[in-house]
Amino acid sequence: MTDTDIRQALTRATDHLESPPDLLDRVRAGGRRRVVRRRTLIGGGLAVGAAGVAGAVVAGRGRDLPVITRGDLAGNTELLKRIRKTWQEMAGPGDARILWAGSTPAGPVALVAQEMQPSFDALGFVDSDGDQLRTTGSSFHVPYGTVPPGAMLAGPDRDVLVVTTAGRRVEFSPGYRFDAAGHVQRTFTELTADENDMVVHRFTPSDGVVRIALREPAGEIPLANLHSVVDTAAADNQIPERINRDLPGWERAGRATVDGWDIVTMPAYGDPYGYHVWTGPTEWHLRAATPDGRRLVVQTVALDGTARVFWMHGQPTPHYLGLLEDGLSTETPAGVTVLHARLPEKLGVAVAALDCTFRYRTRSVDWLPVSGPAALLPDAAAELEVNPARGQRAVVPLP
Amino acid sequence: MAGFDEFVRTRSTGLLRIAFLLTGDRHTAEDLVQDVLEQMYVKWRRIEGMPEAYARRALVNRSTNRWRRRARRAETPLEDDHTLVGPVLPDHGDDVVIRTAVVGALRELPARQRAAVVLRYLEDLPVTEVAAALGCTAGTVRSNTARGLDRLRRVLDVLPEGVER
Repeated sequence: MTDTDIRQALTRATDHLESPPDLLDRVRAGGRRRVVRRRTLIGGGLAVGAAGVAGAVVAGRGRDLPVITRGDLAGNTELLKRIRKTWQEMAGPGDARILWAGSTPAGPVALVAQEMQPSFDALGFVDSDGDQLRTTGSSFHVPYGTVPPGAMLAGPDRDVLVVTTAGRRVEFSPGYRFDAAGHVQRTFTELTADENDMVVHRFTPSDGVVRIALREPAGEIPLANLHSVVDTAAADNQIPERINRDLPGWERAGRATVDGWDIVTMPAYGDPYGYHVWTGPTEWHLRAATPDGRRLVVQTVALDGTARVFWMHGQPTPHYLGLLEDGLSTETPAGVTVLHARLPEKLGVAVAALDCTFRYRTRSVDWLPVSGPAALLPDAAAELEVNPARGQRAVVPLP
Repeated sequence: MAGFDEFVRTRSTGLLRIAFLLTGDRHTAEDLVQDVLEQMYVKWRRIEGMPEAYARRALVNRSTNRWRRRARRAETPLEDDHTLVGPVLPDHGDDVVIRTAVVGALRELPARQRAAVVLRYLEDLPVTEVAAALGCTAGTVRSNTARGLDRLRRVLDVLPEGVER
């Protein structure tokens, strides 16, 4: 199959697609608004709040009814004027409805809605950066007059959580840890909302990482300014590469389905209510087989700048080895991070590094060649020679 | 903002096609393109001289995030039928077979290999521009493309007989 064939295949796979005719209108109307997936809207995932702030507007088409601003700053007309002006710099001209304006440890914060398209509101927050007001940079697209649960991190240190609960039970987790099985473990406590269904909660932030989580009975709670909080532009550039590598024997190891041999498809190892920076070291998904013909997978799963290391053997049941930096990797003087995961039951040592070639030796045998940048070495392997494409050779002990 | 309007009118279908191959799902691709264009709308004055490059990079970055979030959160699985929702133009049967095979093969690739292949072979971009979109070196693009192509070739080579490639 030639390169031209590939080009034609990709073209034919996409020929049926045309951009929606109203795309430009939607984009212009939306501005910086982030759009909650249409299917979520259609599926009723965003319900109307029954009380408090949600009661400040009337669901349906009650546009001519007065909007009541709630919160302790509701009477500060000068502030409301500034909030409206700031909001409209993002959302454009229109009827900005300030549903709530309140004092927080991070300064004034407001919840604002504005009809952007027929039957839909942009709903978002305005907070303070010193003397200046600012929007969250994005907003939620919700049915007109509704206020589903949503949140933002306010203040210069992003350490003040502001939540509109829509009358629902909302729970907060300040952080997480990995348990002995490699699961993300969290403790949630219920947040106490005021009479306006608003919560203002200060917490201790983690430097450069958002470790908090929020949940409500219907599921996740969107964080309006997550992208600006975690500096998406920078984080995006650090999304780790995932390298799938099938080592000798994998394809011959049984005819059973290969589904399930991938940690990232297992909900138990995810963090469904957390907000994360998708950074971390290169992810490896090494698939091999042991001499008895059983499948063996070694996988690293990145999260918030680190990676968990797992192995599966015979069955797609993960076993947790630990964090990559805890004795399961070595950074060479050339800056190459080498995975070296010694597996239990004398299954061997999984090694991998980007753009490198390897040799290994045991205590009794001199250097032996290794095929490719990833391999499953015998358990007797004691040292690994790493030859990067650029940079200095290094010898890494295999503890 | 006339330039922005023109950009959307002339390039949104191309961006949608890239997004479709990056995400494997039409609805996700449409959301992604709208998302990126909204982001561009706000920054238009700063990126007006290089909107294509900005759009490609944003698509790649955001598609990677979405793919990963989908996997981590175990949302709706990417069933084959799901990728074929709602063609807007009349479809030839062979095209559907090829589309299914291409999307399936791309789904198996690591995100950067997928992006490298799509930008090199759907958009026909030179290696240097793909490198700019991926934020990596030209050498990495070449190796990612080679690996991705190898996988794609293996899948497309075994298409059923009678399917016109």
